[in-house]
Amino acid sequence: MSNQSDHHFDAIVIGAGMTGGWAAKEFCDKGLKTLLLERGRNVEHLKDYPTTTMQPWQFKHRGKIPQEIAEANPVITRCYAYKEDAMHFFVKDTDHKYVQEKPFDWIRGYQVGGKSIMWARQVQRWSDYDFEGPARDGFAVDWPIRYKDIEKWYNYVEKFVGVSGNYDKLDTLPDGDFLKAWDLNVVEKYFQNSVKDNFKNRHVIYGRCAHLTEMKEIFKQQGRALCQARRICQRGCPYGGYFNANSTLIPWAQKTGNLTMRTDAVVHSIIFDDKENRATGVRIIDAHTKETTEYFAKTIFVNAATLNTNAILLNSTSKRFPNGLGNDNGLLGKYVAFHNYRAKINATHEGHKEFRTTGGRATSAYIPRFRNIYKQETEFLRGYAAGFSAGRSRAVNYDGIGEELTNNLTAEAGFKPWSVGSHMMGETIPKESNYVNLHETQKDEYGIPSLNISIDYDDNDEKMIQDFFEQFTDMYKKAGFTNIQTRDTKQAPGLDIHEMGGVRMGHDPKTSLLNKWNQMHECKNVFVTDGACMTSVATQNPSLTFMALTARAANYAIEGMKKGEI
Amino acid sequence: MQRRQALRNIIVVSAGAIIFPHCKMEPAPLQGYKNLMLNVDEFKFIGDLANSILPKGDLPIETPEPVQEFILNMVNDCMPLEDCKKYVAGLRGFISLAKEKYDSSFSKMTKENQLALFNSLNEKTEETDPEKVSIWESMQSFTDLTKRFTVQHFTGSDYFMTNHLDWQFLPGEYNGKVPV
Repeated sequence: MSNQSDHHFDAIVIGAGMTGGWAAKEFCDKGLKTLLLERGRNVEHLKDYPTTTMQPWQFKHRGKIPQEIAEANPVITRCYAYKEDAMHFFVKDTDHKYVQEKPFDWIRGYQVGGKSIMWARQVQRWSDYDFEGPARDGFAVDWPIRYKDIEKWYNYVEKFVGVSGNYDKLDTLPDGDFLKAWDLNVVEKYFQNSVKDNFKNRHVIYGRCAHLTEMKEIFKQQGRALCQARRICQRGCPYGGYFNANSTLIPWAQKTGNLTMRTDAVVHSIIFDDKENRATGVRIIDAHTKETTEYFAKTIFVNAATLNTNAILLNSTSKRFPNGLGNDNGLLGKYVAFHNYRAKINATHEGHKEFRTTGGRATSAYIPRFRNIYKQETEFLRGYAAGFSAGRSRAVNYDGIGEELTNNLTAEAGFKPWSVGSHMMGETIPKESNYVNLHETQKDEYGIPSLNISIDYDDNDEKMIQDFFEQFTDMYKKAGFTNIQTRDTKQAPGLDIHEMGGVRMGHDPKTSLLNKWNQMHECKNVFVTDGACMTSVATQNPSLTFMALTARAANYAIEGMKKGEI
Repeated sequence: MQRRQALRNIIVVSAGAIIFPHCKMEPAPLQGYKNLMLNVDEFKFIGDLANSILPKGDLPIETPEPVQEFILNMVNDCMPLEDCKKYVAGLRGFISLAKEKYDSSFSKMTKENQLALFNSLNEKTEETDPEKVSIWESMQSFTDLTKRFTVQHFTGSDYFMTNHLDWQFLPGEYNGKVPV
């Protein structure tokens, strides 16, 4: 299938992160000569994890970001994972500027592996209560797929990724193909039972996570070892204990001999040929030399991460598509949504003082959405999932000075009471007024228009926060928790790092950009399978769904190419 | 009254040190802490003070850097410039206060006097002159921060984390219900 020229390929994948990695793996496995473009540097598994074996005391500032960097980069400094140990994997505000028509904390990872290096590794499936949301509740457009369309691809992806989980048998959160779970601790189990006894249809379960807790042949083939529960995954893992693209998809694709990876390749646009009426390739700018190069292929997958995928398509103008590739209906860049992570609730548990925990685990408990599942029952649409964790640490006495202080610090002071905490993960409603577009005048260092972001919360989100506080206060009180503290961080959208949409899937070319195969309605050899394709956002951490959609779409494209339809 | 007079004196001395840092024949500023511009004696003093605040005795504590280096890394690199300036003003005020009150350099004072001097900063100043109040507050902030980072250096060490905080780099497993 391949062309001999070194600028011609069967497929081009834009973006070497989690979904781009999946597309590349699928294409290479099926014998397609594939070019994987990445705007950032290469990050090679094992070799390029400079901090992965460092102990906490070996960091010059014990994790803290130096003031000069923090002041110059307020957005990225707000990210929970942007610490001294992993700061080299995040894009600084000053590295690639964007315009905030409304405050938006855009968290980015420009490198091979993308954000899959630093992600939080929570993986839950969607159910039909999620896919049917827009149609039932009358927002966005109907999803062109249902759970049955994606189920086998969830299986397919999970088998390769490795997902630790319990079989919970919940209709709201379908079970997958799980590796064994770590323990929920004694207080989490206590809360689990309390919620079960006091509330209908509310479940405290184990947070399914992309970690190897059991060895299988497929993981051996990837060269991965069991997770050691170090909980410093954001640095990259020498064991390959959690899933990132660098330790799995990329080397897997490379082993086939079908992958060409071009790093430091900033995509300017997708080339559309008016005569052929199809996309023919991709125009890139070398990040260092600023030289422009063009690559050509039969099929193009856009996996640059939600907002950069939008930016590339918006900048891909032609006579046929003056407003961006496939954008006949003017909806490209619109209906962007995200997860509302503003609300947190913490408390103290005075019970179970006779117990503690030891060791570590890479996840905690999870509470799937329980609001408005079977019918609309609140003043707001949709609902929220939540994390939940309980823990207790050793008490340390910091009083005194001199030898008294030394003695106090080193004296056995027992344990503090248990602390418990939850954070809300709210579904936001995609709206035309939440959009991105290209700035009219501001350009980046490559001469590409800067992305302008205009995304905000609405009244539905505010109501949901109040409901989360009320419901969780009630759940906490029924469990006897004390010192209950609620907190609205008021953080800007984006800090959830779950922005989705702008190139949504749908049945109708008039109201959506992609069909049910993530294929552009108006440009059939271009596919979008990262977060940009999402019609709505549900409450689940989305990466697993992006990966499943990508594997599904890639295999559809492969079949289409075989048949000569693409 | 004596105390107040002593405080006035140190404020004059330390204010002089801030405004004219290079007028006296002082050791050259230490490289590496560009927001602090300390001299070698001041650097050494931070170490002496930290060891008085938290004497390690025979504890087998090994850290990648001496405590004074860690404290100054944290102040110089991780605090706003204004706070760095305040830290230095407080440091110089404190050195002067030792001279005024005990007619001695800090390191030559008895342990008891060192700690008494340190603890005296816990009190509110009787001064009302805003400039003097400001110097006093700088000294309080200096002692607070020095204690905080001294303790962090100690409790974040391999020895303390392993022996007192159950630190395991490779736990491998999790037990959610273990008797205390």
